[in-house]
Parts: sequence; structure tokens; C-alpha cells
Amino acid sequence: MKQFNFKSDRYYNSNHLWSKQEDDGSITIGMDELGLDSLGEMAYLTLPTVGAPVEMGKVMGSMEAAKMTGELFAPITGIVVDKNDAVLQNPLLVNEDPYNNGWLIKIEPTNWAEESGAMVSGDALPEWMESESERFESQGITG
Amino acid sequence: MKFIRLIHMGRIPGWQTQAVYHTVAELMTEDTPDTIIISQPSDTYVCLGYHQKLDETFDRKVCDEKEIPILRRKVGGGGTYLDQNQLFYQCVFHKSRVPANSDKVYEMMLTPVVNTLKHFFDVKAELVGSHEVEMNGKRVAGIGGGQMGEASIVVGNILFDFDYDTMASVWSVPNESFRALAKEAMKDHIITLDDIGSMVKMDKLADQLIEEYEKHLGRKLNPGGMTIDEIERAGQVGAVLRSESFLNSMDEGNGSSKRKPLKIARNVFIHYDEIYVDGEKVMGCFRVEDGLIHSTKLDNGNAEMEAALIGKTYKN
Repeated sequence: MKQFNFKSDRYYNSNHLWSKQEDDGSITIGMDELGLDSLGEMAYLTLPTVGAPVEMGKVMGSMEAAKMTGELFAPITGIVVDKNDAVLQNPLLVNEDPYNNGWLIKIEPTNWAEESGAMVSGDALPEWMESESERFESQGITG
Repeated sequence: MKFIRLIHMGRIPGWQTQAVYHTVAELMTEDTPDTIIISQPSDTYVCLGYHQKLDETFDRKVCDEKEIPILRRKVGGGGTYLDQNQLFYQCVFHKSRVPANSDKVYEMMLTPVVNTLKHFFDVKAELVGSHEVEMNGKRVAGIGGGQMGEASIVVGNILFDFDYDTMASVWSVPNESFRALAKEAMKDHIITLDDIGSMVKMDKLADQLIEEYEKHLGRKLNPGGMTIDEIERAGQVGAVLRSESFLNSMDEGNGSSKRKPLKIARNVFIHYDEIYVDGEKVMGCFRVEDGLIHSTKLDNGNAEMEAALIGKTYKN
């Protein structure tokens, strides 16, 4: 089974987006390695504009990799305070550097304490990573 | 849920060939049967990939003059030219019943297409680069996919014949050199069943495709139709896919990515860009294959420089 790098300083959700709290309280959002491996090379991204409200679980943008489109669902609720223009110009950056320069947006959260609790982090991470890797290997294969 | 619903539409108007699978996907829940739709457009149209900008892909004026409608689909891939010489297959499965990995989704849905080609023709048919169906090393199908709501979608076609001239005429291009390079590349890298002298009728190929899906997926395809809800919704969906607001939805200002080179086939692209040659900045059209410049038309018309660039690594 392939091994994937998950940074321990952030929170992950089932859509394989990570959320990281910055010193100023804003939350940086990006995609994790396992999710990206299952998608392939990113060709297109659309992201919400700065100032736009986003709500946890609601569509905030879209992406396309290997001719396959998909929706990006907001992992938390809040207001978008920054978006990464570099990944809009070069979506491959998300694959190349998912945890640093390949971030997507920054959100000023309105309910971080509760919503971060619904994500996976810290000690729960290794077990979740393993079960997700297994799910990505086996889902839908047996019909 | 073992069986798969087969909706065999036969010849239907072009817009319906898009509207039906979008509708099935939009209304799909875990209780909806996985569905495969087979159809053939009765008229010509062009179709934008979900993220493409209309004015960078198709020339609206030419499309208007030729009375070729433009639609945008919600699945990926590039701008396509579609007409009655193509057989469509559209797989709409619940996302929980397909692999999580997109390469494996393509393998699941496209292997029956490859096997159908192998069944009829003594050719090298294969799935290449996870999502390109090729015959004798050339592209014989256009493929796209996506997740829409609870549905996972893979759509594609098989080219019985292809109108290269009309396709090339509707592209939005920076100049005529670009169009000529692209058209030449298209002729070199696309193959049709007509090209190999096929006499197989579309109906017969469709029947075999259904059989190959049953074999590969290990599930019966039960002929069925759309539900009342799907029929009612399809008209509205079709209107959305043709609407000005949806066609223009990826224009500047929505945060979408920069203009892409024109993809002709796997690893074959036409770029219009500026590059540096011996420290000199030159603008031109470049046909790039596997990262190398195959041919070029520079804006400065310097034939010596054009010849010198052939075989060089393309770096923009």
C-alpha cells in the first residue's frame, strides 16, 4: 500500500482537505496527499472570492484532474480572507507542494472550536490515515 | 443493488444526449440504480468542458454561421465536436459503488469500450494514461468524467467518422497558423472506425458494448427508461446547459485558471506562447508532442528559426 504524508499540525476531513490554524486565528485550507493521489494532476481550480462567506459542507469551488471534475466543499464555516492566486494560475502546484505553497484559501472562522472537533487530528491521525488508505484501495472494486 | 439500468436512447437531439446523463446524475441517490446510457446525436453540436472559457475554446460567430449549437457540460475534458457519426456511452453510478481513485473509475468504465473494439477489429485497442481510449496508438474516443452530487460519471464516445474541417473551423484560435497546426495534429493523432475500413453498424457495436459492460462489471444491464421525475427535469437541465449564463460561467473574474493549450490527444498539445530562442523572445504556435517541439509557426516568419526548434524541449 502506498504511503502518504500527513502533517500532524493540522486537521483533516473525509473530503481530504486539511485545515490549519495560523497565528492570527485564520484557517488555511488545502488538499492532502491521499486525496490528490486519487485525483491525479490538477488541471483546473475555481475558488471563492475574498470576502465570500463559506459554510461547512457547502460547495465553495470546483476542480478538475485527469478530465474528472469535482466540487470542493468548505471544511469549515467563515469568511474567505485570502485565496492562493498561484494555484489558480498553476493548479499543478497543489500536487507538487500540497501542504505549503499549494494551499487553496484562508478563512476567518466563525465556529472553529466546534467544527475542528468534527475533523481528524493529533493522535487519531495514524489510524484514520490507514483506514482511509484502505478505503481508497478497495472501495467499489468488488462491485 | 446488483443490476444496472440501461437507457438505450437511440438517435436523439444533441442537447438531449447531454441533458439525460446530467439529469440522472443530479437526481441520483443511493437507491437509484447505477445507469448506463447509450445514444447517438441526431444533429451536430459542440460541447465545452466544465472549466473551459467559451471564447477561448469556440468561435461563437462561426458556430452561429454554421448553425452549430454550443453546450457546456459539467464533466471534464476539452471542447468536443459531436455529431451523428459518434456513439455515446455515459456511465452514471452512485459514488459509493465506484472506486475512490479516479484512475480505477476510468478503468472500470472504459475497459468494456476497449474490449468492444478488440472484439470487432484486429487492432491494438488499449486504455492509455488511465483515461484515453486508443486504437493503433491514436485516439478513437473522447472521454470526460466528474462527480456530481452523489453520482460518479464517466462519459465517452466512439468515432465512426470525424469531420476534421468543421471541427477545426469552430475553434477559437489566436491566428490561422494555430488552426493549421492543430488541424494537422488532429489528423495525425485521431483515428476513426471508417479509417480502418470498418463495416460494423452502430447498433451492432452498441449491442456488443452492452455485453462487454455486463462481462466486465459482472452485473446485468436491464433495459429501462427514465423515471417521470427524470423526464420532467431533463428539459430544464438541457436549457441550463445551453443557457448564456452557464456558457459564460467560466469567464474572467470567477477565479478560474489561465488559458490552456489546445489538447489534441494524449501528450499532444498546440500552444500559442512566447519562448526564448538564443536570448531572443519570439511568439508563435507550437505543436508539442511528449514535451518536444514537433513543428512550429513563429509570428516573425523566420523559417530557419522554426526549423532549428524542431525536436527541442518546449519550455514556455
